[in-house]
Amino acid sequence: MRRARVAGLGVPAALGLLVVMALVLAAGVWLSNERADPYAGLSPALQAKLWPEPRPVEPFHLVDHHAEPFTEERLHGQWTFLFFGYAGCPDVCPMALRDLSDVRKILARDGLDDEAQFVFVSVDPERDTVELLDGYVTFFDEEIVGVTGSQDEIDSLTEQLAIMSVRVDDDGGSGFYHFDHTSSVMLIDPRGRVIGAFPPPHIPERMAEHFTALRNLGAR
Amino acid sequence: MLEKESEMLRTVRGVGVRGVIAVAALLVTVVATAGDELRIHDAWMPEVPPVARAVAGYMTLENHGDEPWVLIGAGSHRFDKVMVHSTVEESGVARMVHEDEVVIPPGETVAFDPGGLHLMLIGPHKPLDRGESVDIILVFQGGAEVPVRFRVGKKRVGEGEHTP
Repeated sequence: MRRARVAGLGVPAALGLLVVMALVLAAGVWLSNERADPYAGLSPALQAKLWPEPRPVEPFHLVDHHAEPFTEERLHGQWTFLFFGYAGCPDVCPMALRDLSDVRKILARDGLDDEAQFVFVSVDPERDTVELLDGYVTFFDEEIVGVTGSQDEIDSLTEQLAIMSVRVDDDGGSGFYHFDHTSSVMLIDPRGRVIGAFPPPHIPERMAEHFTALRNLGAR
Repeated sequence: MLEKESEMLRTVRGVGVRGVIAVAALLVTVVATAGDELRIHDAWMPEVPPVARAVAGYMTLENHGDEPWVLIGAGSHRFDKVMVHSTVEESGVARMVHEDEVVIPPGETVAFDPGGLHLMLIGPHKPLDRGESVDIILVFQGGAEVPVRFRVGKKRVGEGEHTP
């Protein structure tokens, strides 16, 4: 009887039912994919830079180059490009700071610079004082924020972000030392969560594109 | 300028085992020997803040001779110390490795570029100004001491920046 009734709907109605069922199924699959991988629509090159799960940055207490407190709260409300280095670094840090400045200028051109801040955190707080950082970071870009503080607080931030930094003393006993350190730029989202790391080479155009793609994903 | 060049020549001849001739060409410093020719060009330092404790020196060395040239050190009156380093990226960490010697084999070119080989110029005695020229002495195996003039600029010479 039941079969006869379905048959009684006629061919167009039965087809219509099938289409509806297919759509429901497709929507289900799409939704579960969305939940499983929020970055599904991003390019593979960008996906490779993202952490599997965004991780909130736990409280830390540092100070910026204007001697204002720089805590995890400053990572909320805008995106943050975070780089770790020191003012005695001849090769990698000036290069990264110039690249970050270029990224900022590209974002400014696109009217997006208000949505991101650029922060340079010292791994050599003993020598990189607030005054020194003021003269250092602003040379590369007035908008870059220099951050320093106690070694313990810097360690607490670097540990959270999986940043490595090792002091290396000159063999000759000259008193000179440098740091081997992570050269990736970390990206923090406006909810104060680390979402990925950009390893060098830092190609400003590419970083700006990646930022814009992530930002658009968040804005959707 | 000319006086300074000839002074440099004398310095080099005084200590140079191979008899080095220094020629300052337009925007680039070229250093060459009569027999074993080594050309050093595009010598530059990126502009850094006056408070920077170190700056990098970049250059390109071309060996046009038949013998290898081996760079074993460097020095300058403008800095506390000069070391030959290279940046090595390992699992996202930039390590600075001290190079005891850098060999420039015959017929080959070795480039000191950002993110790789560089002179680490530690403790500038006074800030470096954009467009300024700074002499660095390169020391090679065999005793040759070659003064090379580095330009302070935003980019390597020839990459679109005009030095004032």
